[in-house]
Amino acid sequence: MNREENDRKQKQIFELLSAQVDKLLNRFGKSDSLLGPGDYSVYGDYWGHPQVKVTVSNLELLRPDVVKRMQAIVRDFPGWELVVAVAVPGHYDNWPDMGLYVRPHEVIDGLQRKYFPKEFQGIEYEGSRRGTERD
Amino acid sequence: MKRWIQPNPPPPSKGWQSRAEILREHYASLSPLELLRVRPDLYAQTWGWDFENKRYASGRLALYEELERRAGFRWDQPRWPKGSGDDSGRWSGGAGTGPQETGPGRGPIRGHHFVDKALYKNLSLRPETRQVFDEGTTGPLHAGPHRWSKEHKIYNDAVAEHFQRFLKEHRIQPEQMTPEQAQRFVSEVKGSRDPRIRSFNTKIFMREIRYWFRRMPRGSE
Repeated sequence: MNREENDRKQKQIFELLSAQVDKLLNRFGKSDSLLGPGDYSVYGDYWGHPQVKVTVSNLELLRPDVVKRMQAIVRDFPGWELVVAVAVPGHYDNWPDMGLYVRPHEVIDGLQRKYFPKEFQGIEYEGSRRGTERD
Repeated sequence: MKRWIQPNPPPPSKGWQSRAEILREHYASLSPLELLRVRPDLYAQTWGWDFENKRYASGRLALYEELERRAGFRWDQPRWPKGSGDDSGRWSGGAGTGPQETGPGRGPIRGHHFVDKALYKNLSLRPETRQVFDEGTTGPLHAGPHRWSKEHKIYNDAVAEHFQRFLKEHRIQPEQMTPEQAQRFVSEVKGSRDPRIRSFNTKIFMREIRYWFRRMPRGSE
């Protein structure tokens, strides 16, 4: 397979995975749009890596059942991962970069719960391990 | 005594030139590669970001391919897979001694949309207006992997605010937006002075420049 074919194939996978993740999150919240902010955003550009980036601005979308569903989706795409970044309006400057890597076989948990409201500080993900964004 | 005769006629007088004119002439005489070395900012103006004249992709891609050819890169050259110790990820020499890893991250890609697709996918736009947003990209990028940064969200927030102002100023609804207006909006985003937009676009651009600087042949290569 030459470079162009490979790139085209990877881009198709990206589109498919992005659409499925968007469809899932749309059941729990509203996507960002040009007409106003929502609860999440699935970044629409393929940058050449087997990743789909999701930005979550409503912490409800970090609930374990939602993340578990995300993992179920990415399981159908071996080698790919979801990069879930937390970006809550009003806390862009005073919260550090944090998030999750949702992979078919594991969840890398880089949430810094001390910044969260109390009701979200106890979130735990089954089968996850703590990690950094360099994992 | 024989009289000396000048063998070649003297060059025509160029008249007085300012330093800026001399420099401009000098830069114009350089090849794209030389220009990228000495004045990456001018190179970018000429070859990197001229979307309207569509010189971006053809000019830059041709240059990249030339750089890759000079550097001896071959996309289909096998690489040592993960778990091969210190050799992991290195070229296997093309001898087929290591399985080929044709993973993503190396091929040409369309790059960053100035207006993220996620932001307009659900809007009721005219097809030709949507096409303008679809095509408003940086062109192929060689970006690193995504991390947990908030920069996309901050950028998208700023673009959305700009869009709402744009609609208000032109007294239109999204479904009434013409392709010309969409083009104008994309141009405004590209040239935006909003630090949230400008810093993100500049970061992408500088990363590209650094990527190609690292791959340029040096000295007598």
